[in-house]
Amino acid sequence: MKTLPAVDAVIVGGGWAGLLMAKELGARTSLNLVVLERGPSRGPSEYATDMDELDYAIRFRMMQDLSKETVTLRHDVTRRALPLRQHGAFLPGSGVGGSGEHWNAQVPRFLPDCFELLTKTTEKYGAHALPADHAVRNWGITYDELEPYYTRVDRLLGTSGQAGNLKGKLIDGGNIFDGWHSEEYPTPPTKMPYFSALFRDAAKSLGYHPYPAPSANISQAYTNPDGVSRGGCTYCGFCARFGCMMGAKAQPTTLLLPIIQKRKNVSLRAGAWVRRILFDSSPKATARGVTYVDSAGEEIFQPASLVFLASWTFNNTRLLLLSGIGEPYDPATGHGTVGSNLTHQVSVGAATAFFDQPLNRFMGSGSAGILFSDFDRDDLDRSSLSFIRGGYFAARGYGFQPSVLSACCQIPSKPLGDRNGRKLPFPTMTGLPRSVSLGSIWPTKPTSWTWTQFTKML
Amino acid sequence: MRRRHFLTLSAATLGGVLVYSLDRKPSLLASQQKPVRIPLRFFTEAEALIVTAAVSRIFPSDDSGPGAREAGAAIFIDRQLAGPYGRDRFRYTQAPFEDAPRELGYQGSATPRQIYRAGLSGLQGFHLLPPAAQDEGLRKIETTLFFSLLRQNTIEGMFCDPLHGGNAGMIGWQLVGFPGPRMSNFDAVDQYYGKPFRPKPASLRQTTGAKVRPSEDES
Repeated sequence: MKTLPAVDAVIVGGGWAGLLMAKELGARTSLNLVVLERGPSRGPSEYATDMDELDYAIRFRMMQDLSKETVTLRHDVTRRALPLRQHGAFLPGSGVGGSGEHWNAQVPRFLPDCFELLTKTTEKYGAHALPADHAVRNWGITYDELEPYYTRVDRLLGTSGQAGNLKGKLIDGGNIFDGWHSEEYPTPPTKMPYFSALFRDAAKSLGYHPYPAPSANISQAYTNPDGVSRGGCTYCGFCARFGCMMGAKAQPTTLLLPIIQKRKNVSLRAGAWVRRILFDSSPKATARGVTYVDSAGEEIFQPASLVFLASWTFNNTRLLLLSGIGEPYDPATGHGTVGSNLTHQVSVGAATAFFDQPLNRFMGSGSAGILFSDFDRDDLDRSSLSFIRGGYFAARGYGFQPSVLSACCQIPSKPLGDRNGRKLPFPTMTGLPRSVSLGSIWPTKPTSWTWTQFTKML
Repeated sequence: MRRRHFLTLSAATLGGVLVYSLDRKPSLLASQQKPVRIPLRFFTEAEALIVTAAVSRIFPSDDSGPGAREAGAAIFIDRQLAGPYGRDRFRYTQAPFEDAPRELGYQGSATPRQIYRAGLSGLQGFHLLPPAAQDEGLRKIETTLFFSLLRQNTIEGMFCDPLHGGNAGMIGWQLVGFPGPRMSNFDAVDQYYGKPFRPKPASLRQTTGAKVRPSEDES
């Protein structure tokens, strides 16, 4: 194993978390930092030619290579965990920028009571409101304490939107159920695709409070506090699963990488797949560095006295477990923290609607759209109901490509293979230009039995 | 070394490049006079004829527009199977191979190439049957893995960027009013509420002027 010259700190993972840490630490300290990213080097200059649905959205070119590395899943402890063989609901990216390159750039904030969920829920509904298997905790930080940092992130990303709660003053047209914002979003709301505009008017007529979705895919040219300038979105519709060819979508390679590259004390190594964190346990626990395998397959030791894990929940947990750091979570006893409380965001397709008029849905962006949060607020008393939390409803103008949509929209049990009013023998596509799906986004409850651990495969 | 196979498409089958007006009146831009022989990368000629017939039942042509046969979906599938997709380059393919709930996805070990080869061996002579009998034959296998792949790949071949060998003449895109990748819809996105916006379709290569390497040409 080759040993490299020591650095002060290693950051594992070159996505939003890792590169943001590298940017801030690089600017505020004189630490000698190296970021290790398992995937390839890449950036906005390559994205002009990525507008190919098949290779990017269906064959998942920007995602983790599952033929080399995957996770196993199971629905409950009585079953055997089986490998995730092909990408499905969640799409972990790989390469510089991580999943921050192919995301949709939707940037809602958590509701203030989410940060003190255990306290607030028991105060409001009593100690027995949460089921016995819950693992809800307080974050140890409040929304009020975090607000300045939300605002800093919005400035960094140039978030487009309209605040509905400015320092407690409710403003019509924004999300009046949101936590307070200390200032207006840096850029105005995005343009609205047709369906989003229809949804806004319909929601309003029903007495709800629709508002433009906060979008880090920005509405107009903007220069952020770091001096990074970028142009506005052109609504080409190639957002989720693609890198943004305009650089209008906030991406780590657009916003963070240029700053990092100017700093002499920060370097980035792509194709560096970290396998272990090495440490001494006595006389006191001290990091020694990490080992990684480079793109040529050679194992390398990178000494460092600080190691930051920024490679997402699955890989962070995996590295801690592989390295023997911390106590693995055991659902039988409730002891241990490593791997505990896995949660995911739930997005529910609420309805599919068909229209007589064309919707031109290829125009849009991953975050342009209309939301309403009348059912997603922390001031409602739901004690007479069988649930206590809510979610927001969304009509986004994602900018769909034809095969994804026809695959998503097909309903095999019904002969919807309809083209120009004529039935096709097998379900292939619905009236693509005239149909749309509504969604709603809900939190998942952390439980004592949602966790990550190692599985014996053979 | 495999013997070279060709799929011969008649002028009537290939149909030249069809262009659709907004009210879906087709017009033929450049009609092929002679039959075209397309070299096959994976299928034998017999297999290609079966696939061509099958995709044209899954997405038939009619007086309202062309279907998957005209879009070249069989050529698309041939290239996909010959490339990394066909040998499962994008999937986790190690053991254990066990039955699993549907939500965990396909857990088997067969590659798309193997699934097609086995599936097609059960459809010999399919392309010689009349359409109603072909539909009948496909219904019998409608719940199989082979049919679900065939159906998915037909849709892909109908609507993919032409750089992958399907969607010939961008006829799939024209059917659904998709103009292909565009650098900007800034002016149009909020100007065509409820009205069709149908710019002339252009492929990725036409739009960017760049050489784009499709995944099927990678090792």
